[in-house]
Formats: sequence, structure tokens, C-alpha cells
Amino acid sequence: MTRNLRDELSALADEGVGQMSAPDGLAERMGALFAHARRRRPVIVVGATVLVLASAGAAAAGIALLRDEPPAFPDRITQGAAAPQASTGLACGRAPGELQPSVVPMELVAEDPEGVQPTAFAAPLDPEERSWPTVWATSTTTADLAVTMSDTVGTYLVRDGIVVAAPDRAGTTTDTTASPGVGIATPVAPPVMCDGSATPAGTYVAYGSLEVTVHGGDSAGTYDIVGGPWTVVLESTGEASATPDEPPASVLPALDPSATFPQCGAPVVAPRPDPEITWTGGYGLWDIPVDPAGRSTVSLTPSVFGGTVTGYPTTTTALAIVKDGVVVGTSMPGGPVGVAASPPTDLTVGSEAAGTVLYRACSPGTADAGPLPEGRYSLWASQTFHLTERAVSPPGGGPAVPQVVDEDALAFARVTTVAIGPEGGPVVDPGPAAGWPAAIPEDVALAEPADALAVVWVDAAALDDPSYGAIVGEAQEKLASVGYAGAPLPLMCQAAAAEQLGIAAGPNGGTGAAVIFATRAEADAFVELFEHPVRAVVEADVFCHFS
Amino acid sequence: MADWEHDLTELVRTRHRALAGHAFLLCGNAKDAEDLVQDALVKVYEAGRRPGSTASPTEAYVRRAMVTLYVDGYRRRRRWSGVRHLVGQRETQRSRDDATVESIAVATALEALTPRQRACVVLRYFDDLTVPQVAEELDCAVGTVKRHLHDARKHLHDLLGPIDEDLDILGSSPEGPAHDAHRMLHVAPTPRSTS
Repeated sequence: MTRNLRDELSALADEGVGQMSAPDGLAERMGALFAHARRRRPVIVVGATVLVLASAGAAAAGIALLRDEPPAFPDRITQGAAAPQASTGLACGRAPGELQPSVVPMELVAEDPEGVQPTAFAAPLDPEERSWPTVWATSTTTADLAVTMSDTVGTYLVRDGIVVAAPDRAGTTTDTTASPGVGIATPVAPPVMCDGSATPAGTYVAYGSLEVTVHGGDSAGTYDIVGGPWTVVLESTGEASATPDEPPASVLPALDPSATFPQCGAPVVAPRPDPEITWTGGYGLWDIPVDPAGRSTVSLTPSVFGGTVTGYPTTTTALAIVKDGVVVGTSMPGGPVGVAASPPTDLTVGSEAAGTVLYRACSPGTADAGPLPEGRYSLWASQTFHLTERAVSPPGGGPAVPQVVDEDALAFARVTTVAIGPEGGPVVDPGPAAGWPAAIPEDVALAEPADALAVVWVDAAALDDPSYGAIVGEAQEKLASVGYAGAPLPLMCQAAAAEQLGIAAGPNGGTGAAVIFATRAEADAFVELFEHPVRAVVEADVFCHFS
Repeated sequence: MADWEHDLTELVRTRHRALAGHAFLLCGNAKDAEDLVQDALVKVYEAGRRPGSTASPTEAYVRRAMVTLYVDGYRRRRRWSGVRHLVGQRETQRSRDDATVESIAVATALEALTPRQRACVVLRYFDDLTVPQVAEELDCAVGTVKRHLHDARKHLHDLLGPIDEDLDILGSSPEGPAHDAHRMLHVAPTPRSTS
């Protein structure tokens, strides 16, 4: 039986709607929510999730928040009923030292504005306001907590190890119930510079502080719940900063052979240790959006070669900026994740990871040592998985046989090219220099099939080739160095390529770093200018025969 | 009643069923779908009602907000749950005992897709957007959408069996003008990107 997907989706949608609550009163509830937001202002502004505050000292700045690598020092908060008084170490002029976020009885978690400034509406944010991430106060206990909590999360800005801005807190409190795992959206009290001056643009370390009194139960007592540390980038939005303090472009870190990816200075060595899992061959990664703070949240889909693999991630997705085979920018620690919270899943489907990278130069000990010098860089990603089952078709064909396994695997690959402009932030890649022939973007070539196109295959490999990462990654770097995107192009998208390249792509296919030109003359001109050898120039249709 | 309140009331009254179906196909269960609809409405109308705003939130904005929220990840659950207590909304979760076997099979197959694959399938085959329109909705390249659709079709084929061959990846809606009119809900106007 052939299924009509359109009809079946419509039927499924109808069924789903039948399971949902009637919309009676939905509009009224929305109105009530907005009214609540007004009462608690500065509170919830966009989507009930972005906290916007009007601060005279910081009206000209936009803020983005990034999570720092957690310090290895113990909590400063003594857990339990006899917690120290609020804000110890967090006061103007004091050195807070290395603080870790509180974990009991509540935690503070900030969400950046990435997901809450949707491309779905046209109204710009009020230029007189600035956006903070949402801060969620969440109970980490197993029972509901009756709490009295500050109406605002105080935010402290730290620079050079000293608190330079403290919150102007209203001092009012709210009685509520904190249920386990349910975040309470909490407004942020605006930080005011300790010397009363306007907040200058720049990069700060920030901590959040929320005073909470738990009434009754095992957790009874008063706590200073600390969140962070976070990296806060205050960006000028047009008005001159009071004290422009952006440091000059920093020197990139030197190679540190003892460091490991994504640590600063670590060598990036291909091939990857385990070729079984990589990121899906560049899907959607050549148009990564960069937010105004210079960050990208990158979604990655694991791709498994040669069968079905079941497992779960054992680390978060680590991203790093790489130049000449050395990590020069990193903002994700790639630390362990809760294994118990990640039941094994089929990694070939339904699995997606995301990481955030900050386009700043690193140096040993800090993720932000200043802006990156102008130039082209590459973005690499790494994540480890634990595998529990593998099903691979036998070489002679036939159904795959599942086998229970107990092993670790590493996904490690080059994700994309990043161009850094003269201002130190990511820019649209200016592309090849004058005199180089213009390439046809892959998506254009695929969407508008022509009779034949001239494709310069710098190099290519079968996906199950153990050296795949090294071969294709190195070819991509060569293309990127002269301003060509070099996104991985599946061999299947030019049917004649595999044969002419002499690659036995096998059942899993193959991919190469390629540049597509409209004419053979342009392809030849490219080869003439390109200082590296190329694998082949193939003149044939470019079309992915997905059907 | 303010204009935005009137618009919101009208949208909910006339289009809630369509929005809910769109959300259900993305989320796969009624509870999350309800949250997704509400999150999207909050986002769109919060922006539209702000002083000085000239935006007129439409169904297209709400649908796009839903896709953005869905693809963005699963944090939306916490967003809405974080403020739900403020408005005292009661949650309901009905059983799927009356679901048809076929619907369960399709729902199960959709669960096997990545969020981006699933969003592509819903936009392409339920909302009848063209591939370039799907790419615009998801803010990605046309080639990316085609690959997601290709992968999604492969998974769906493996799980459901043969799928109608008229579901070409590049083609426009085969149903003609009626579906084209439906599609217009999604393509005009184009909201401003904030990224």
C-alpha cells in the first residue's frame, strides 16, 4: 500500500486537535499573562521569557550572556539551613573569587535570548531598553517548597576580578511555591556601576544572586542562591560608549601540545580517533546565524556510518575556533553530562545536539582574551558517545543483525568556515579575491539544475574511509583559505564524479570538498590560481538524486 | 478592548484548530502542542502590543514562531511551565485510546525524525510550502531543506512503507489553487529577522 503523506498528516493533525483542550479563555489567559508582566516590570517582555530592563546606566548597551567554563572551586554557599547571609563576596569593590553556582535547594539558570527573539515578528526591541536572558529559579529538591524570594535576581558584574557593578534591588519579596524542576521566571535587577558612571561596553563576568527563604521541611532556612559565572558582553547599540575599552586584536595562542580539544592551544589532529560517528555532512552548517554578540548556536546531527548505532552522549557538544590546526577560540567546555538523563537512542535518527561558540580569541586560562585578528578560521565540534548496540549489514548483504556493545565513540569534525572582520567580530565571508572565478553556491546549483556544470573536486573520500575526516577536512581548509565555501558535496550530487575520482563510495556514499563553476573555463582558471593540486574537474550534471 | 486583544481573540476563535494541528504534528502530543501554541501566541502578541509597534501579528507569524520554538529545542516546555502558575491554567491530557492504528503508525514514524527533519516534513507536506519557502521559514539553505526532506522520506519509507511518489522534493503543491491560498498564510508578510 502506498501512503499519501499529506492525507495522513492531516488525519493525524485532526486527531491531535481532538485530544487538546478547547481554546476557551485562551485569549483571556494571554491578557492576564501580559498584565502580570506589566505589574512585575522590568520583567517579561518578549514571549514571556526575555527579561528587559530599562537602566539609565546601561541604556545604550545590548547584552548577551554566555556560560563560562565552570570553575573547579567548591561552592561558596554552605548548603543547608545555616547558609551564610546574602551576597557574601558579591559587593562593590570586593573580589568574589571563584564561585560556583548553587545547586540546593534551588538553582539559577539563565537562557540566552537566542530562542526568545524569534524571527517571527517585526517589532524591534525598544532601543531604550536592553535584553537580558531569562533567569529561571528552579527547585532542585524532590518536594514543593514554600518560599519567600526576592522579586529580582541581582546581577553583579565583575572585571579584572573585582565587582564593578551591583544591582539596584527593590528589596521586595514574593511568596510562592517552587515545584521540583519547574522554573520560575525571575526578573533581573539592573546592575549599576559602583562609581555611578554609565556602564561601558565590554565583556564582563556576571553572577546572579537571589535571596530565598524556605519555610518548613528539610530545606528550611535562608539562602543566597548564586547563578553563574556567565560571560556578559555589553555591546554599544549606536551611542558612544563612555569609555570605549575594546582591547586591540589579541595575539593568537601558541600551540600547546599538552592541551586537548577544545582547550585553548590544543592541536587539531585528523583523522579523528573513531570514524564511526561524525556530524551529518555539513547539513545546514554553511549558513550558521551569528547573533549580535558574536555567538553562534550550532545544531549538529550525528551521522553514523554503515548501519544503526544506539547510544547516548556522554559529553556536551564542544566547539572551538581553529586556525592553522590550533584551537584559538573556545567557549564550550565539553564537560560530562548526566548519563542517567540520556537513555540510549538510535543515533542515526532523532538525535541532535547543539553547542554555542564565542568568536573571541582565547588564551590559557580564559575563554576571552580579546577579539580575534581579522582572517578566516574554521569551526570544529567534538562530542563523545557511549554505544550500547550496533547493527551493521553483513558485507555480502542481508538484514543487519543487532549486537550489544559497550564502548565509547568520539564524533569530531570540522563544521564550517568562519570569517572574522577588522572589528574582531564574525562577518560575511568576503569570498575570493578579485581575479578568482565566481563559484555557484551549492544550493543554487542544486535548485536550478543546468545541463552540465564544471565541478572542481579538490578531494573526496568514501564516508566509511577511515581517513575521511582528514581528507575532506584538509581539502575544505584549502578552499576556505582562498575564500570558497567548500561545503561538503555528496558524490551522489554529481553522478559521474565517483567514477572519475576513482572512489568506490560504497553503500554509505561519499563526500568531497568541491567548487562548482558554470563553465569549464572558469574551473580551469580556478585550478590555475589554486596553489594546491586538485583531484579532478568533472563536467556533468549536478543534481542530488534523493528520490 | 485594545486592537491586539481583538486580533488575538479573533485569531484564537477562527484559527485555533489549524494552529493546534500544526503544533500537534510538530510536538507529537497534545500537552506539548498546547504549550507550543501558547508560547507562540505570547511571543507574537507580546511584541505586537508594545507601544509604538506597527506590527500586525498574523497567523503566519504565529506559525513561524511555533516552528522557531520547536526547532530551537525543548526549552519551551520550561518557559511556559515557568509562568503557567501565574495565570492558573489547568492542563489536560487526554488518552489516545481512540487513535487509529494508522495514525499511531504515522505519529511513531514522525518521532523517529530529528526536529529539523520533522519541521521540514510538516511545513512541506502538511502546510504545503515549497522547498524555498520551507528554507525561508527555517532560515536555512534550500539544499539543507532538500537533504532533510530526503532523509526524512527515507526514514518514513523504512517505517511506513512506500510513500506517494507525487511528494517530490522540489515541486510545488500538487493540490492546486486551494492549497496555494492556504500557503499564502505563511508567506506574507515576511517578518524581520532578529538574528
